[in-house]
Amino acid sequence: MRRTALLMMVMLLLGTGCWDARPIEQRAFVMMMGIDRTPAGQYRVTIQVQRAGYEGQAGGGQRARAPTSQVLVNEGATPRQALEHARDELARELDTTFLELTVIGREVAERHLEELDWIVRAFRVPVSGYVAVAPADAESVVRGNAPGYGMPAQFALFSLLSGGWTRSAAIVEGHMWLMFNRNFFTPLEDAFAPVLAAREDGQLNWQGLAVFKERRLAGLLSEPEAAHFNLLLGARSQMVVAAKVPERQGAKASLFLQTVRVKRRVTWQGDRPVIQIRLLARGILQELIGMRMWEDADERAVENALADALATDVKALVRRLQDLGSDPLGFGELARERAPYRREASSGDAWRDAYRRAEVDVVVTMRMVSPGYMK
Amino acid sequence: MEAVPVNLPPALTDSEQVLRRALGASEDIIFQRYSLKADGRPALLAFVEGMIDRVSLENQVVEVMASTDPSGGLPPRLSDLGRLLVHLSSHTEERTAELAAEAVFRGHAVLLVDGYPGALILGVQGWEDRPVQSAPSETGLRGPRDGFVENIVTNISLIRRRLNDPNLVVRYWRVGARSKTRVAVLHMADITRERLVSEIAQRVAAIEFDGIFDALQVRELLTGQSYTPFPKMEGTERPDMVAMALLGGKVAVLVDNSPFVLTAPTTLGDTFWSADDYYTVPAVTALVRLFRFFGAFATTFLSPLYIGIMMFNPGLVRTDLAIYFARERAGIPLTPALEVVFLETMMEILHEATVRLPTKVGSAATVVGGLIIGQAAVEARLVSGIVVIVAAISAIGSFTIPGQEMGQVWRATKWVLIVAATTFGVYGVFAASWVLFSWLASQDSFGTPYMAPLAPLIPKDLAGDSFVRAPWGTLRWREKTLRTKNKARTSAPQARKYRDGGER
Repeated sequence: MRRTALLMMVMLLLGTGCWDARPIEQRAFVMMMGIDRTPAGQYRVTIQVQRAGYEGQAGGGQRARAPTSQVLVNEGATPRQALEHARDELARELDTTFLELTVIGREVAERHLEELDWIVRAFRVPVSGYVAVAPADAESVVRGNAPGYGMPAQFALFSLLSGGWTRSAAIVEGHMWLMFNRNFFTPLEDAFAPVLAAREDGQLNWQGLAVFKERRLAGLLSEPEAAHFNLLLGARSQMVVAAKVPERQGAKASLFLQTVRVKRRVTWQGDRPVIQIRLLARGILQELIGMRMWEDADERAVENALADALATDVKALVRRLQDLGSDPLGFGELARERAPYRREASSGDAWRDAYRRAEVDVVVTMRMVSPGYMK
Repeated sequence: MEAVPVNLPPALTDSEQVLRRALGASEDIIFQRYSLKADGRPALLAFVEGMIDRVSLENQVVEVMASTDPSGGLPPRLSDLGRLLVHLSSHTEERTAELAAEAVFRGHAVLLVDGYPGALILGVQGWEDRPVQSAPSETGLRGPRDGFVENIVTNISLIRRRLNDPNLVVRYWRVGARSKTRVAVLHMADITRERLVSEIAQRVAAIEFDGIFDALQVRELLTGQSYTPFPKMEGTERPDMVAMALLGGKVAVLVDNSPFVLTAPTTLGDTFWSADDYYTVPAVTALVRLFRFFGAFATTFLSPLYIGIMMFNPGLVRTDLAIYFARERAGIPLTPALEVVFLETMMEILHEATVRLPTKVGSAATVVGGLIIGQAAVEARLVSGIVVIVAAISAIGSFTIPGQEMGQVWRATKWVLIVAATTFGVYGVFAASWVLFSWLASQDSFGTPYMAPLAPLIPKDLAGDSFVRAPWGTLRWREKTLRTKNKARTSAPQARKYRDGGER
């Protein structure tokens, strides 16, 4: 008891104290940060901070509705130095406690990602912070707007949170800690991050997925591909699958996926890995055009057609990743788990070679939980 | 050095002199001379003005003395004379002047008769008493309305009316070297733990103080606490609560001239239960008790947490809220800690100012303080609107706690936490709370752990009458922490019958 009390006192004195006090209004919360590289080899850091409230209005009076955020752009030899310059511009203390989203410019994503490894250590950022890749420069994204939100950064935050405004499967969550620490876990997996762009009108918009290969941007996936990626991650599955029903002439069906159970594993055929993906998908029939479901056989025909369509899409996604040489879904780690002593799974380079040659075997079982009134 | 008792001699002139010496030189002591009709011998009545019932004295004593003439002459013994001349149910004989004087000060009249040694003590007490009214500090929506008054005899009768049981034992003491106040200790002989009764009785007997005026004064002398704000004995004005406590296995201490009755042992949980809880359906009681805990939490922790978050750890709240706080605070000249100290001080001053004011003036003061000063401070941007909300919730929270005393206790605790929050932030609040609750867990009230049934954890008590009150029919067992002699409140078949919802 006495030792615990003593320890607590020591922690009190070491951990915090009145010298650390900084009233909330004297803090500038960095809500979104974009990191670009200039042609001169400097880092350009763009930050979005909340605008100080009713400054200069002490003593009463009307509260004017000021813009809620301000954007600061600064350059430095490193992102930390650029931020330090931003700090000099403000009359408040920069506080990255609420840095929810870091946007990486394309140039940085393609060539200098490893230089950002210190980002999670240098700044006090929340572990749950997100990371995104800009299709061009990050500055235009940070300068983007999101009508309806107090701060543009909140657009990204609310859409990424699972309890946010959308559950679209095309939005992939990219966590900062996962992005910059992935290689601590295994060299057999690659990083990924969603693509965030500012449209012509400045509105922020998610635009698919960026996948990496050995800390270099390997390519950008389209939004439907991002949705199937999410499906295979087991993260979000709310999407529509549409297909022609080959057994019924001219018939088409669409189904809204509700739940998808994913099983992934890697087996071996000689020295060639086989990526096996098994999906058990359940959903609600949305449309049925050109046929009626009188019999169970009709239902099976629709289910089979939808399952084939989904399997084709998933297979195409994996093929695309193989072509890019990127393994963000972690098949290499699955291969190592199953056969830890195989040479092909012993290092990143060996796996990449085997991964490119891997056969892909996708089986989808589709179940309609509600066939609707048509039956 | 103790004075040697002086006997009252037979000669009235001598005995009057001795009695006057024992009574002192007060002018409110009345001496009236009479002569008996029987043989014309002189007699003397002594009493304190205003403490006796003059009508009884006139009718039952003075008139009888003036009219009684026994054929066989006056009896040789004073006690026999008393039976002849005093038509009162209560009269005794005392030999010494000191005991006679003490009786006079307690409101008796003393009759000295020439030729008889000693004095007759006449039970003619009569003074203005407050009638039995509802308890002002514990008003309830349901349940009995009567409350204790300043008369110990009346108070005991209020309890006795509720417990018509020969096992209800009342024991009296006189405490206070000069006030000689009557103190009664009540317990149920077949329920309450003997050790508890003897411990309290011993402590009552051991009180050495010149004047005892109230039960809460006795509480301090019994529990020996110094600067601890948390009470180890509960004071209540409601006879039903005392009767319930006695049946539960507790001991009650009554003090003459005090409308508060102490019950012991007391746990921290007991201070959260109100009388209404026992007359409301259990589901509602559970909800109300939950909000009461929230109220206490808000009173104690809201202001310190506000300081901690605003000055040290804004990351603890969600993003939108932090931005909103930052915007609201912009341009405020006072730091969050000073804002809180300013408003909390205002609240305390207001509370102190209004609590003793007459109702009409009090409500006006509350309006002036609460609305005008708060509104003006926000308008002037001296404090932010948020801190007014925090201070208001904190103040209202303290009113949810039954009994004004505990509200004050938690408010006092809040100030310690405010200092911790100002110095060390939210971590300081948690560290100070850890110290507080560790200390509370180490305390006991007459052998009962203060934090029971949480620490130590007693599931049976927890399921009975704690955060929720179990329905009366299922409250079969008395609290385990009290270690009562008789543990069951009702029989097993009766409890089963109740549980099954009817006859078996």
